[in-house]
Amino acid sequence: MLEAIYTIISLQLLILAIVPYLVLRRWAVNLLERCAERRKHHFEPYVLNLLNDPTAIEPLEHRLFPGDRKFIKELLLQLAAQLKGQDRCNMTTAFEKIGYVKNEMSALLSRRWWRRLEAAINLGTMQSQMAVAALIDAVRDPVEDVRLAAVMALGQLNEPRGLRLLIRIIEEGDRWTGSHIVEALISMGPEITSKIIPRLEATTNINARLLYVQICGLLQITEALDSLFLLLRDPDKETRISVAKTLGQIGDVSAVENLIISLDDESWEARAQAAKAIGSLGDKQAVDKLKRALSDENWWVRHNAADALYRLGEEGIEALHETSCSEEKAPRATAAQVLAERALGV
Amino acid sequence: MQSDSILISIILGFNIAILIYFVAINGNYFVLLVISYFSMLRYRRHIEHEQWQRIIQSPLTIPVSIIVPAYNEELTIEESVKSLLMLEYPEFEVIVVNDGSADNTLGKLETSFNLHPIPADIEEKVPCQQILGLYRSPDNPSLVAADKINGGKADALNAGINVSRYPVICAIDADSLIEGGALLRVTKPFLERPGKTVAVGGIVRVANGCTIEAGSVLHVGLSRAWLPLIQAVEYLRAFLFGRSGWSALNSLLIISGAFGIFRKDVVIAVGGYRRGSLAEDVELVVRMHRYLREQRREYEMRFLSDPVCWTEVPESLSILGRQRNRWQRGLIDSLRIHRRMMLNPRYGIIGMVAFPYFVFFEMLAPVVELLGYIIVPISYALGMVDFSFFALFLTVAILIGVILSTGAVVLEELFYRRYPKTSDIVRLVAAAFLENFGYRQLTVWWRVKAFWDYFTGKTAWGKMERKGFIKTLGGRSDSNRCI
Repeated sequence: MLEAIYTIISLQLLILAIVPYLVLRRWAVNLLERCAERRKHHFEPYVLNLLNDPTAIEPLEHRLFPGDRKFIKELLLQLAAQLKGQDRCNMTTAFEKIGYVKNEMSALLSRRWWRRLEAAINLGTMQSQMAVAALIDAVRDPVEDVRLAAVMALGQLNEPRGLRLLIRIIEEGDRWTGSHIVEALISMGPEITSKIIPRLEATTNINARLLYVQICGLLQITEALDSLFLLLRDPDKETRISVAKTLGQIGDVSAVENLIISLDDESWEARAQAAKAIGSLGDKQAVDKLKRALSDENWWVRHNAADALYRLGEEGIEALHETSCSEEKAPRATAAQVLAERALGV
Repeated sequence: MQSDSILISIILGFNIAILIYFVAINGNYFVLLVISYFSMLRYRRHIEHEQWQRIIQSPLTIPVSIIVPAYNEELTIEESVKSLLMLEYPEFEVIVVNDGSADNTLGKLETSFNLHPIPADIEEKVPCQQILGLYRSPDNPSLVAADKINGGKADALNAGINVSRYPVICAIDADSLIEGGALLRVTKPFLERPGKTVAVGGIVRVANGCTIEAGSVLHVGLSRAWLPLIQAVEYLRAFLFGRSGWSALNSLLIISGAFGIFRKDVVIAVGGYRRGSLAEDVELVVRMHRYLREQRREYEMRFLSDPVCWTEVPESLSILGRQRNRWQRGLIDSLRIHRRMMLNPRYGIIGMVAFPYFVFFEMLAPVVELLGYIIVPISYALGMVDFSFFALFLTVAILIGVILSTGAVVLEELFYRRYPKTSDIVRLVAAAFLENFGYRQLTVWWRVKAFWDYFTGKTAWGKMERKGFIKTLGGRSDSNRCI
């Protein structure tokens, strides 16, 4: 009986202790947040001054309270994320001079994965070339989040060693991390063209090839057109679909002839993408072929063909009007719907 | 004499079974609470430094079709659609499916959003009642309205799937509000693991007591009425430590119909939502698990605790009772349909752990609890248990319930702090205590009654009532779920 009473009393005490704990914790957190805001407000003018003179770091280094370095770092990171050009370079210099870059490089070796993750993200924002080697090492981190953050940071740094590494990862990695690598590579800009095209032609890894094709589209690399035309006849369905989409993104009219052939592809996804791409390229030689695609058995092919016809202008719209009066039910309905939607401006 | 001893043996056996069940269910809850804590801690660290603006600008984000089934939603539909059109997301469409409403839902949409009828050319990917018309708006190009013959919520969702044009669909309730950045957050797993992620659910929070303007929650607060307050604690418990824990084990069997996002090709492959189902959200998720396991595909279904959907909860006992009754009937139905998965190693952790858990500790829990309420006092009256045992069992049962609910409040406070006032914490803990006296017993009764209703063939959803989103919410709804 005594044990039972003890059990009940302990449980009651536990519940009673939780309430003051939560209330006190809330009070302490609010207080700390207010203090942080005040300190950040105090440092703001000095941080902004770094845009004019990145060496004016003295007020940010001396007579600091505990936690001030963290607040200053947060302010600098917030500002750096919004800047471009010379101002951005000045911020990188400031990060290096105050010692934040070195600190974050050390943090990349921390035993706590979340600290390594934060360091990789911060180093990407700091954009210091000093950190390239450390980030290359971090790409092999056992924790996926850290690896991906390091990949993104290397993209932001736009440095040849990083580029070589990212291309190697594409060829050996699985598709789960693909989107991050594509994003990292496109953040490097069109300068990567000369590295991407040879790999697009040479790689036998289908997943890697799909990523290269995607990059060509997002960066609108016209130099890749000949290689893409060849891939438009690839036995792999996914590749053909992706190439058709990419040709539309690149926006070069010379692709229309090849895309017209793809309107007869055995895969409906490839036919639908080809129709969509033709619409964005806008070559009127495709009108007849698109009009025929309005009778396709697949809804998406019909819809994309109708949309493409509308985008081709007068001749295409005329073809749509003709089809909307035809006896065939499916093409008639598609043409009527697209005409009505476009008339509303949607 | 012999019959007396048999009766006593049976009652004693029941007592022991109830005691074992009590230990098992609470042990499970505590394990889930601990798993959820670590899983939320990890998730919090994962997203703490996320650059959401970068993701918004990324050309790789996946376009999403948001499907809003609407049946007699005249009062809330305008506000809901407005809030959806304001979402921060690069490419999405909002498809409102008017499921043969008897009120002026469609008319309200037409006038509020300048909708015009267009010829409908729709491919039937999943079965649904006939779509009578499609409407588009020149002012809001991303808005589509579909008018169809009434067929129920699942049927309306299927119609939305047929109308949708994007590869990912997001199902939401018409009486719910999605926070501005929630769609971006909830789609992140699809970007990170595009081949693997098939479904993601966000958290549903209670909007009663919040200040709402122009379709968004301006100020988070708690209702002054006790019923919504207790439900606020219930929702925290169900989502923060229930679903977080199951998600960490990749065994999530429920993604709320109020805010769930799915890969469309997988939903179509399993045949869409089951028409006529009372818990179409649970049934779809269980069916997707079953299909993907049978196909031996690697996949993930996740619950994320930070994309928020706000919803009205019932403020009257009668509506709440109908809601809980329907949820329970839906759960029984879904588990019965897929009973083949039960303890079947072919379905991995779902068949061996999650499914049996839902059968024993979710579906049967109210029955066992009711038996406990009856048998334990009888045992005491017959002198088979002494008073100290009886009192101890009752007190410990209540206190453990309070500790578990308070655990959910602690998780909320540690990770999200969405309720700004300090007094809100005290009120939540007080509600966690008070729900054990009356409220809990009522829900047990409603859920037990659901067994009778289910097996006698009752399939009605129960009457819906809407008050509409006004500046300070205090509306009623019975279309949400929080198991």
